[in-house]
Amino acid sequence: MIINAVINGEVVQKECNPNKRLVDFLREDMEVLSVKEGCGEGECGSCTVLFDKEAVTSCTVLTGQINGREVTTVEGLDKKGQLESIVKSFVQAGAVQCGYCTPGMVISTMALLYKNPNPTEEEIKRALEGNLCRCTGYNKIVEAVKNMKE
Amino acid sequence: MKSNTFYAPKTIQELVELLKMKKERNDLYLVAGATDLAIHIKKQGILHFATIDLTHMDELKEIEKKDDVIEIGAAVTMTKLEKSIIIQVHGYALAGAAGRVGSTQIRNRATIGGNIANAAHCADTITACFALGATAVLLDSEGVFRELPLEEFVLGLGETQIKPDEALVNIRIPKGSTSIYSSFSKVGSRKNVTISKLNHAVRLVFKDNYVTEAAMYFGSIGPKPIKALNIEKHCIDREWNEALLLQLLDLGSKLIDEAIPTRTSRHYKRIAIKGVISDVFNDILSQREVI
Amino acid sequence: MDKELKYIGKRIDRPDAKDKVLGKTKYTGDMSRHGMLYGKLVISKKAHAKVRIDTTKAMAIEGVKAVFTYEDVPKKPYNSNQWYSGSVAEEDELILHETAKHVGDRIALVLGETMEAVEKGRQALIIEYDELPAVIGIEAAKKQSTIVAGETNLCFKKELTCGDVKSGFEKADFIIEDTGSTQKIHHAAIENHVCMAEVDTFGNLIIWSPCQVVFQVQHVTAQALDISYDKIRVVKSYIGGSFGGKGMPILEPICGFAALKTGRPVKIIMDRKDSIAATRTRNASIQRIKTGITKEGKIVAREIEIDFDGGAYLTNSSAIAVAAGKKAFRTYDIESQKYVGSTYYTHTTPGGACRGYGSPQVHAISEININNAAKKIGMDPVDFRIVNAVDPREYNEGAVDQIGMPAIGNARIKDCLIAGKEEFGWKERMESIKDKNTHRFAYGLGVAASAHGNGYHGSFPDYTNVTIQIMPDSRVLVKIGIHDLGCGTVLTMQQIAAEVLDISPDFINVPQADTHLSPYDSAGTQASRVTFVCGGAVKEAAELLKERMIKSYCDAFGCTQDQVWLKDGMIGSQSTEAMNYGSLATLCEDKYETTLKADLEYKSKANPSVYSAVFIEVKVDRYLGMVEIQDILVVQDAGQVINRTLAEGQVQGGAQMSLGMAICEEIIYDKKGNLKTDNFSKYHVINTPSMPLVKTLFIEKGEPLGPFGAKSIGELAAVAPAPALMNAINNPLGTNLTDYPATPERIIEALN
Repeated sequence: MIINAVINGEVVQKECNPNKRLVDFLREDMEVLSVKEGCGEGECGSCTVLFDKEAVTSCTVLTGQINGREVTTVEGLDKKGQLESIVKSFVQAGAVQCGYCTPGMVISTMALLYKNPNPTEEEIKRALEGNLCRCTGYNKIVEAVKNMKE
Repeated sequence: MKSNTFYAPKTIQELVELLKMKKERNDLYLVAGATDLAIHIKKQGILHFATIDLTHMDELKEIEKKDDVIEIGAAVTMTKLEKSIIIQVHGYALAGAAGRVGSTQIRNRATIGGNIANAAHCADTITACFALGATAVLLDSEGVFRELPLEEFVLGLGETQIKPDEALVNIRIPKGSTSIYSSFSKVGSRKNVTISKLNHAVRLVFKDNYVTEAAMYFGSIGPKPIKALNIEKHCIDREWNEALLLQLLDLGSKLIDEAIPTRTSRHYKRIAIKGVISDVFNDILSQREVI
Repeated sequence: MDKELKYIGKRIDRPDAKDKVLGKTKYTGDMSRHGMLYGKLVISKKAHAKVRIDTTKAMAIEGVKAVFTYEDVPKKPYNSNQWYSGSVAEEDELILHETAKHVGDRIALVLGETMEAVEKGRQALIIEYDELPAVIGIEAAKKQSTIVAGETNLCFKKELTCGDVKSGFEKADFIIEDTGSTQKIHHAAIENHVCMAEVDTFGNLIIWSPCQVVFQVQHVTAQALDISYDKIRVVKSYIGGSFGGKGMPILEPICGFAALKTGRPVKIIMDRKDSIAATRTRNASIQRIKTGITKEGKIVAREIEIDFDGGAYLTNSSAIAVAAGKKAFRTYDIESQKYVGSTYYTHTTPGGACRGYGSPQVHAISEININNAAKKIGMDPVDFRIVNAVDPREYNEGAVDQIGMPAIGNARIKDCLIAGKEEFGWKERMESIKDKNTHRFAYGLGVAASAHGNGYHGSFPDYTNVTIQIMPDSRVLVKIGIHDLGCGTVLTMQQIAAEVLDISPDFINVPQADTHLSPYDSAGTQASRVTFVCGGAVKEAAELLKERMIKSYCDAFGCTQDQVWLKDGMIGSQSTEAMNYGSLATLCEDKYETTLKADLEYKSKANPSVYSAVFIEVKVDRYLGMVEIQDILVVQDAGQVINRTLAEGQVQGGAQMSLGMAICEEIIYDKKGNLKTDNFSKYHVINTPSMPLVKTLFIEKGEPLGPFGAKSIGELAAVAPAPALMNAINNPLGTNLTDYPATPERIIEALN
């Protein structure tokens, strides 16, 4: 089946098995490598992408489902210059250690801030509830997101 | 039949045509959020299958106020349910249940239709929908709709009354009035992103501070949520106060003793039920205080 | 320190963080090679079984390149725990096994042109298991009715003693006894195990591995494949977390084998289930503690007996029992003490390093026991610890502790306890905590102390080689075999070199370990040795280089050494013209035919302790058994913090792991050895909403032999929060929960 979707801001038409998981399509067919697989069942959040403007785990989406929709990863946000402030905030706060969960954390953060530019600490924690991190204890990630609020 | 086909109907008519085909084959999955299916196919190593995807059917993604019911499309996501003002007003327990399913990412995809049709014994929205007296609307390959109470539709542990050529298209809950209150609570291994070890939903009708009607369900202690008849009966004509709560706590423990007399999990659940009952009690109390 | 520190102790941003945020960082799973084959292990579904595999159907699938089973691999046993050629232990693993000894044991490898082909091939294998009786858990192993390997399931036993335990207990007014257990823990690095290998044009086998010790991977691979060390080049790639889990080579030998056999690059990827079942776990334990105290609160004698679950292969069975035991002699001043550690084989996933290496186990029950001892005489548990804690020692070369291990050094456990008590407001909280209680919710306070080490000195070779060179453009290249596991090791080394050389850390490049490019290092990134030993090496090498720079400058310009200054990458003197470091390097090459560099083989001369004290307030739900951490303060004796942000990150991350050990994490097997917790939906780690803000306080009083006084932080951080939390839960409930984790079910059971 030919998939028609907007991926990282570009119109993509690509022959692909529509029942393939989105994470595999992104990594294998689109070479979008910021999207990591950590558990394969929507529990760790390291494969989180923006589906239209909402955070979803791409290991629980079928590629056929993105037809006519928009999928965005950190590569796409970076291209549009939307990550300057989050880079600064994450780097300065020490929110990054091994970095493997980080792109997923960034996507969940951006999805939150689109809807809610001024979240409370509780709202931040809830937005990141589906992103596991084993390095930081989350404290500095939450701090980084807090620091991003205008 | 070619494998790995993917059908994305946009209208009811297109869906009916696909259901005709589904009747003939057993490798066709109906899928909405795919949050369960994607895990299932990976775990089982299923490489070839076909899907009918409901997420491109706009009419299944709406929550509508009808004459005496709220009609929820099967492809409405947990996030949408949780945030919906209509649901908050007419089915607060369902909004609460939806808000506690999985993680933010999962709630953005997982649908009420999927949660109900998969009929996991711990499915949070089923308990809430039972309490709210919901019905299921099914569509078959002849284009005929049928509606039945959700409690009859869900048979338990992955089993429903759905036929091979049917799709669950809507969930309907009776409209509430200002004297109706509902609430949901659950306990899992963690505060957030957790599978229910026990969940609880109630729908109460009040006259002044006295309960005139009560529907109370507990999930995750049987193949499907259990209706707590004794507790419901006990509430009728009683005042919603601390004294009643204490009685409910005892009745709750008794319910566990009767529902799962031999399972080792009863030792925990007969105490934990006090927690979910208290949470619901306090939630109803604060809802009533606001008004 | 005489001079004010310019880079040490500061908050300097990680140079690798930006690319990680932007998703540009390539981990091993993101790397590929032309003509690369994909591979995935097939792991046993049975805990103990003779396995027969029919590969015919799988081989016929388009895209499947090879299927390897026991039949195909070298029958050369190895022990994945051996990190150097002298670490002697029985070799009992093969790269693929004929008889599976645990769920997750490696029984086959499928290679294919695509991951899809690999998956199809895996499913087409016909696997028959002839099941054999399985030994699950320590109690079952002790029955000895089924023997896992050799003649007994007891695969190692070690006793450590000091003083006279018998007469010690006779002096005691009270004896407090506790038993308890700790569980198997999954490391839960978000990146699953992965490895890539290729044979280069010179015939070297190159292995890219997110590992902790490149020389260990080289050694184990040389053993397993029976090939020359020098022909194995191991390159440490970016790692998505390890925590000990990627310490022992699991995929590397078989990935190397596959690349050699097929002549093509091979990448093997694990999924989460593989990572939980087929790698390593923290060793579970069953413990008995007996403490004798006087009525004044002095500990006079203690006995600690720990049985460890070693799993199906020997791996770290001896090391874990010894490492745990040593820590029992470091926190409190106990005249007479005996430790007995025994490790048993079971048909479960083998044990391995897991953040803290024995310390989380040995403190888990003993720190609850300490609370019970204080309670026995009505003494405050913090004060009880202060009374019994060790005092700092002056540095004397060759000094030893009670059991002959290197001396504890500038041990600041008392400072941790005293400062923490004050900072947390322990006394005030103790007085008023009960006022918060309701019928449903109980509020409690808990404290725990812990000790950990700084490397292998005293037990195993602990040295490293460094070369530091000034480049013509004034940048500095530091060659040392280090592995950044995400903790910020590279930046730590940059800051140490920067401080000595007075040049911005940005100018310093510290490439990560590569067996063919990095000078030899004896032990890698393990045993909490990196800051203390490798950092010490970098500091000393930088000092040697600095001396050379000054001397060369003096020779060239005819000034005296005391006139020379180095500042911000410039060298000069009062009377001569300043030049940048790069120009001096060029001058040295031109004029003196020498490279402006320093080489050093640095041997660690000490192994001091590090300490922590953790203070916790909790709210426990008497109905649901759920625990909410209201406040947590971690005080760590760090000697000197190198990078404040990194140090806090270590403490907070360590707390996440330790608190999880206390309340929710556990690898569970059923009686037949089937793994019940094979994914994150069943193996619960603490997520953001359940994680409290961890407040940190560092005691920085300098460790004589540490670089700028620094010592280890990261492993210690994962030790004391767990027992502190257990104590906090037991405190208001009046329970004595000593089995980890304190799940809601266990809390409710204890209450009713």
